Amino acid sequence: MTTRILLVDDHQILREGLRSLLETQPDMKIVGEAGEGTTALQLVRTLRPDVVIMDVNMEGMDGIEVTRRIKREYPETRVLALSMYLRSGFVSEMFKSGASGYLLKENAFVEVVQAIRTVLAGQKYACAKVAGLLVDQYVQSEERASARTALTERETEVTRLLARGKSTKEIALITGSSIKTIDARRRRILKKLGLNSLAELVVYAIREHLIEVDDQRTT
Amino acid sequence: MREENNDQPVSSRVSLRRDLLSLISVAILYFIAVRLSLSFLRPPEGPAAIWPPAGIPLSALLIARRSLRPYLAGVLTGAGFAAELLAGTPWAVGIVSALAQTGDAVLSTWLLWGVLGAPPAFTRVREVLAFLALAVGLSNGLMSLAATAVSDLLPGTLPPVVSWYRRAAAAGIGNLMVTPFLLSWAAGLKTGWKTGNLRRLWEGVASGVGLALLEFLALRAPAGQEWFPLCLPHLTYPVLLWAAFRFEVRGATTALLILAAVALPFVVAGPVGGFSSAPDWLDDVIVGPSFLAIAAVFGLLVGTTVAEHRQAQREWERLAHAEQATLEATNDAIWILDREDRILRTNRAAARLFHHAGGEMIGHHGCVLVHGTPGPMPGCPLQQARASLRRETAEVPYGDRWLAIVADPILDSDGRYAGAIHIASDISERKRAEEALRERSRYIETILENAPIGFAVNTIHDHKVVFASGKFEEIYGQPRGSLHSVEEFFDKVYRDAAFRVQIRARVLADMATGDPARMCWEDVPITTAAGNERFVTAINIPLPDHNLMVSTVQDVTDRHLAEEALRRNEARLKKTEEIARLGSWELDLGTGIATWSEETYRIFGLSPGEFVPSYQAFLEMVHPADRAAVDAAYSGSLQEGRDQCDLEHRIVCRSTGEVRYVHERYQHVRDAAGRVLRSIGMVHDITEHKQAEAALRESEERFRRIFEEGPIGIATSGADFRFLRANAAFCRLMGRTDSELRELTFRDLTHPEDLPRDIEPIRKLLRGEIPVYRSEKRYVRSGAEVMWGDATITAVRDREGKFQNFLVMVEDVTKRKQAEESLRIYQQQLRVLAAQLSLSEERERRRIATGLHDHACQTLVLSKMKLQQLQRSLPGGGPEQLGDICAALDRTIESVREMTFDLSSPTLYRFGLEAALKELLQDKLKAEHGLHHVFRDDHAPKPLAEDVRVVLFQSVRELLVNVIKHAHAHKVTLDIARLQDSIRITIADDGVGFEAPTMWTAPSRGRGFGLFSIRERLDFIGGTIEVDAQPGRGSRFTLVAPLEMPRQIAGETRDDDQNLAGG
Repeated sequence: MTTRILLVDDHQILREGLRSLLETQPDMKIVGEAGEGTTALQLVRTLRPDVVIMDVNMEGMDGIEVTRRIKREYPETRVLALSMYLRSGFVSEMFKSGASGYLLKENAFVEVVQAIRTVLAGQKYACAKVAGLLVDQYVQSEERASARTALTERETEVTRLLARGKSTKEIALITGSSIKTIDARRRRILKKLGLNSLAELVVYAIREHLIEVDDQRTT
Repeated sequence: MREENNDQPVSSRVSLRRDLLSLISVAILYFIAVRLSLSFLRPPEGPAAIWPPAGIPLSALLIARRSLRPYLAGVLTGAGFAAELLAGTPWAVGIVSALAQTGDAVLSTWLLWGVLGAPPAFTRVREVLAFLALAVGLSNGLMSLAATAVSDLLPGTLPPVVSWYRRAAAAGIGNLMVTPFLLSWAAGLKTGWKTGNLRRLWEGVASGVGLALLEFLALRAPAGQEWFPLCLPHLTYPVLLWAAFRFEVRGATTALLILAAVALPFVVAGPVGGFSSAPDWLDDVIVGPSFLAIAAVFGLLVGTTVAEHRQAQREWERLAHAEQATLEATNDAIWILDREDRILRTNRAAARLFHHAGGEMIGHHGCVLVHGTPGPMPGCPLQQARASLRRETAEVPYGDRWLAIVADPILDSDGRYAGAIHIASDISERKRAEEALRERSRYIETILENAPIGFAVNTIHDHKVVFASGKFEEIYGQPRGSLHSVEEFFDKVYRDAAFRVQIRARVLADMATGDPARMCWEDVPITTAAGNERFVTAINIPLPDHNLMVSTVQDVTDRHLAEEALRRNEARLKKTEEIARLGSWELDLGTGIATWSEETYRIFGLSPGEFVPSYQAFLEMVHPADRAAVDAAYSGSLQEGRDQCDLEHRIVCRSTGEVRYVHERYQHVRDAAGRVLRSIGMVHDITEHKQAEAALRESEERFRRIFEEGPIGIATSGADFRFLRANAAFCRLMGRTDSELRELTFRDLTHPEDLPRDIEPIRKLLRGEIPVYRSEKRYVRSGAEVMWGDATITAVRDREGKFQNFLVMVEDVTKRKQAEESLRIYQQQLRVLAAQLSLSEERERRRIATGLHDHACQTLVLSKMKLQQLQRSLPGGGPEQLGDICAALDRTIESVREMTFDLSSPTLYRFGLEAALKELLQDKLKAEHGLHHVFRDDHAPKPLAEDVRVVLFQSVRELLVNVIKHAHAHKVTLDIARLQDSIRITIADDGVGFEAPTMWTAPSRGRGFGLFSIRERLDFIGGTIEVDAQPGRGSRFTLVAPLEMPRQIAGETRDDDQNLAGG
């Protein structure tokens, strides 16, 4: 069974380089090439490739957006990101939009086949440098999470109530503690989390999913 | 009748006419009366007696004045004779009758005047008796007898006896009835009527009517009852009695006349045949006239007795009243007591004093009433008087008063005690006055004893000390009461014998002259008993009439010593004058002698005493130019009576010829009459002062020139802001004249846009809250031309801080302002350019980054790919160099990639500012510099315009680089938050910090320029930066920039974004 591959990159020489590289593989077939996002989408609809090798940075609709649309229409299509950018923003956005792997272009010759096979197998692929980046990111988010867990159960409860807009008095009433206790606790929470205001605490609570927000808009 | 004085020439004519009238009227009256009487007499002879004219002449003569009486007698005789003749009487008989009548009247008048000394008023029984005896009895009898005797000699007359008797009876009854009537009525005219009482009138009317009724009944009596008419005349008595009691003689005689007049017709008609049953002649001659005579005498006596009684009663009442009035006239309380000391009479003063009504006290014992004791008090003067039978007095306290009691015994004819007069006088006032007097004399004594002046009194002749006050002895230091004579005084006070003799001789000699001026000895040294030296001033006042000498002495030691001190002070004053360059002088106008103080000499360039000062000499030393003025001022002040004068003038020093300025001030001393005795003045050398004054004037002149001619506009204005004065420069700046400005205030001159901010500070200035106000503002010159002025306004205040005026100084800064304005515009343009530059730099960077990415990177990647292909195609992986080239390519790709991000982060454009900053911290600073960081984002939507985003990113990146390079920080906290319509980025580090203010002021230094540049760029996009830093405490930068509003997002920014992306 031949793997049908669509190449999307706005640099033709790179597309040619990849084509020559992948054509050596008997079970892989380049079914089409696209220099920009819109063409890529049309080709996906007509050719129905198994794997789309996607450049992240493109004029017009970029790789992130194209990936998101592809995955919306054809969730079974695997997208392997191929980029010059080694920045967590791009990497994580790419993964978030549905890409299965992220490969730096300079590593393409060595790793692209392996990467295609990995994503086809339903696994994620990241080249070594990208993997390092992801690990850093994870560690950082873990640190932040640990800050949350550093809060005691009672503190977490108070944080939740504060974020819901309850006053100190109301919280005292709900938890059955004195107002002074709640006040002291509130100050301790802010100090622990390194926050300055109640507004920041609310933001923290939303981010840490301590409270549910129906409409969370993003930029 | 009282004699009238006829010598009154004024009234003589009036009295003559009155006399004539009275003569004529009496004559006519008498003629009618005689004529009527004769007509009654002729046929029925009896009734003539009851119409008697005889009283008329007697009354007239008694009333008339003595001088008128002869004429009256003549007239009466004539009238009587005329009446007789007309009645048909033979002329001889007529003459006799008339003469007899007149003679009777003249004789009666003479007798009555002689006996009574006055015409009878019939108020006394004595008068009545004299009248009856002399007029009715003696005179009438004699004249009737004489007339009858003469008539008998004449033919055709009546029988002598009957005629005499009848004539006497007729004339007597006439006198008896008419004379008292007329006289009493005449007296009534003089003394006033006391009738007029309506009740009495009615009583009279009722009596008359009752009498008439009785008469009527009597006339109507049955025949044969003759006793009844006989009783009729007796009915007249009640009427007579009533009239007599009511109106005394006047009433009785009037009633009698009326009754007689009523009876007359009956008598004439004779219906009852006379008054009695007696024979006709008797009836005619005796019964009728007798009855009338008895009735008249009875009436007269009763009336007179009543009158006398009343008179006596009135007299008694008058006396009693007078006596009481006498008692009441005194303020002393008087009791008249009987033998048993019961009060018989008292007065109102007693009632007031003893608080009992006068009536209450009568009949009571005085001691019971006043002292409340049944018996007299011990020592009561009344009791003493009873024993001694002499006047006794005492002064006793009574309540809060003092009373002087006098008890005078009343002795009866046998010299025994029959009562007393007790007089109590209130002497409280006198007692008080005495007490006050005693108090005053004690007071005076106290004063004398305590006065600082000692008093002593001695006799002149024998030099005995009569009185010496304590002070007197104290001053001389002698023990109390030790001085008995003048000799002793001298001995004790002046111990030094020689001095004693000397002073004694002097004092006695002075006293011997009697000259008061020599009775005063001032500052006499004495030695007290204790041996202290003191000084006294003694004044003696001789009282030769009393043989007394009053000496006063005062201790003047202190004054004496003070005067000595004063003399010492004078020397000091002299020195002071010298130091102050202040001399004094005195000019005695009487003698022309001038006295100068030493300093005065020196001021005039003379040595003291070198020359004899005088006014003329002084004038000569005055500067010739001032001489006339100085003389005029001095002489003028004398003539015009100004007592004080100030003037300044120059003098020429005699020794050096130097001109000096002096200030003279002098005053005239006048005697009581106002004449100037002398002038006292001072002269002050003010040469230095004058020189300073001249210097001051010069500096004032300089200031004035600055004000008037200087380039700075200066003006003053009052509290109402109206300009008072402005110099030429001010006028020129404002383009207005001085007079125009006077009508204006600063409001009129200030540009309307600049006015509001001036008003409050100027008010503060007025209130004194700020000392000066400086304002750079636009002025509107005349012609609406605008001028920039730098105004300095101060409030000028006086020494008490009271506002005087504003002082405004204005400098024309229009040119500077214009320069500043163009500079500002250039700066503005420069800033825009700088910002644009930074943005275009960014665009360029991005273009380069994109180029690197799109071409260099792709080519490198492709090269690597080709190389690896080659490597693979070669057996054994080809030469080792291929691997090295691959590694070199990898490093190149890596560095180009990083360069791409360094030049222009794609993250910023793709994911926004937050992501780019986060990436910057995380992937760049941490990885490359090991900087720890905290990144906070409130995750609120923060739409930013492209340029804002770029500027903010660049700024933060520069700041972070600074943190690493200069602050040597280990940790940085980046906080991004949305504030309403703006974004706030806070960068805080734990580095070395810096001095915040220096960052902005020194833009030339490397690091400072960064901050300065950041601020400029932020300013351009409408943002701000705040720095909070202190050395050693880290720093904190806060950047705030506006967010892009939704409307703008839809349009421009997208285009911009695409343009930038494509560029």
